[in-house]
Amino acid sequence: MATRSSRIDTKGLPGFLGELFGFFDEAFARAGSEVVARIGGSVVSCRTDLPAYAETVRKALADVTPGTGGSCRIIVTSSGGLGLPDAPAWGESHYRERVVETALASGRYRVHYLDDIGFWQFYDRETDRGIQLMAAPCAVPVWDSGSPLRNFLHWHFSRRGLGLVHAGTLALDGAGLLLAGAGGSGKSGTVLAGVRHGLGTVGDDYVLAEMGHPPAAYPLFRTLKQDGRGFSRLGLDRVPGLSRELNWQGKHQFVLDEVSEAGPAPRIHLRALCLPEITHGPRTSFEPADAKSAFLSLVPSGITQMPGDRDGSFAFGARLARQLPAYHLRLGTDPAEIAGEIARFMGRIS
Amino acid sequence: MAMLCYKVSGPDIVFEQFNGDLVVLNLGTGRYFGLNPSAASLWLALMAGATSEQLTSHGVDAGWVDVYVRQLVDQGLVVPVETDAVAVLDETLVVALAGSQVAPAIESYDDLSDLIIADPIHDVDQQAGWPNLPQAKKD
Repeated sequence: MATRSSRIDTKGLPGFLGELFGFFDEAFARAGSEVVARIGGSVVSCRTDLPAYAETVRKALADVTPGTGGSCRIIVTSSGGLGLPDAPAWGESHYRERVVETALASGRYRVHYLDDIGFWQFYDRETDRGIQLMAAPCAVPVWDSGSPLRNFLHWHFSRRGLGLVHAGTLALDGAGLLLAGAGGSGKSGTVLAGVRHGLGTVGDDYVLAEMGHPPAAYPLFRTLKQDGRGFSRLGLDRVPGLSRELNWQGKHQFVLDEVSEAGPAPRIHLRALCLPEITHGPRTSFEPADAKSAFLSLVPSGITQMPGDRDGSFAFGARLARQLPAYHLRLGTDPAEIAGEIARFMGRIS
Repeated sequence: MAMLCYKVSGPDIVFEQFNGDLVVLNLGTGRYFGLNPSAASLWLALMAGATSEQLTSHGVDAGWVDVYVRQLVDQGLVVPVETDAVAVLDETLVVALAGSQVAPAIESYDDLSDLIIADPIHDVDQQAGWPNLPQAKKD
C-alpha cells in the first residue's frame, strides 16, 4: 500500500525519492495508456492513467529517430493515482529551485516543482525513470501541451552527452541550420516559411543536439507556434483543418505534420548557427557573426527554462557556438524569398 | 608578504571562451557578463592565481586592473584570497596581457536574471503563468 508523505523539504527529498521510486515498476505496469517515441537514439516510454494526457504526449512528441540502445520510462499520474504516494506539498516557506538544484546536483535525482499548481517532476538518472505527479489531472503548466515531458528528456539526454537547445532548425538534403534568438526574433516564422516552401526541419523551439564533426540535431517535438499575423502571412489560415484556437501565448499551435507532408526529419547535420532578425527590409541576407554573439543568442534563454545541470547546458551550448560558424540572418518580408535565400545559403556552405 | 589573488565566488560562477571574448554566468542570480578580449585575458590570469601586482608587472595598466577587479568583486563573481604564491602564467596569456591596448570592459545582461531567480509561488503573473513576471516586477 502506498504511504502518504504530506510535506517534504530540501533535506528530505532524497529519502522521499528513494521511497517513491520503490513504487515505480508496479505503477508503470498498472498504467493503462502508453506512448512510445523514438527520440535521439532512445526509446521513450510514457505510461499514464490519464488518457487525455497520453493524447497530448502522443501529439507533441516526435517519433522518427531509430533507437540505438538508450531507453527512458516515465509515469504520469495525479495525486493518489497508480498506487503512488500523494503529491507532497513543499514544507519550506518558498520553493527555491536553484537551492534545490544545488542540493541535488551531485546525486542521482533531478526535481522540478511548480508550487502554485502542485506539479512535480522527479527523475532518477541512474535508472532512467521519471515520475510526473500532479495535484489533479488538469494541473499542468499552460505551456505543457507544446513540449510535454521536456525536463525528463533534458535530464535523460544530458547524461548521454546530448543537449536540448532552445533553437529552431531548417535543412536541405539532410544538412542545415540552427536558428537561435530571443522571443520575437523571427525563429518560428522563419522555420515555418522554410517548411512551407520545401525545406526540412527537426523542429522549432527545442531540438536535441549532439556534438560531432559535424554536430547533429534530432527532433523532440512536432509542435509549431505562430502569432496571428504570421499565421496569415504564411498562408496557414488557408490550410484545411488547421485549428484556429489560440494557446496560452495567444498563438496558433499545431503540429508539423499538419502543415508539411514530410514531417520532422529523423536527423540533420548542422552547418551553421544563424541569428534571425526581423528587418522589414525587402531582401534576406546573411552576414558573419561572432561566436560570443551566437552563444548569447542560443544559450541563456534555454538555461532559464530547463532546471538542473545548468552548468552542463552552459558548457554544451558553448561547444556548439564555438564549433559552428555563425551568421546574422537579416530577414526580408516575403516567406518564399526567405526560404529561397536560406536554401541558396545552405547550398553555399555545404 | 601575503598578497591578494582572486577566485570565483562559488560553484554558481561558470564561464566560457569564444575567440578571445569570454562569457561569465552567475547561475545563482541569472546575470551574465560579456568580457572583451582585454577583460577576458585578465579574467584568465586571475583564474590562474595572478595577483593585481603580477598583472601590472606584465604591462597591464594599474588603474585598469584596480577598476576591473573591483567590478568583478562588486558583481559577486570573484572573492579575494590571500596568497604567497606567484602564479605561473601561460606564455600566450602573458603576451595577451602585455598587448592589451583597450581597457577591459564588462557588459552585464540581466534580462534573464528575473526568470532564473523568480519565486514561482509569488513572482508569477497570475494570468499568463510561468515564466511571465507580473507587470510590476518587470517594471
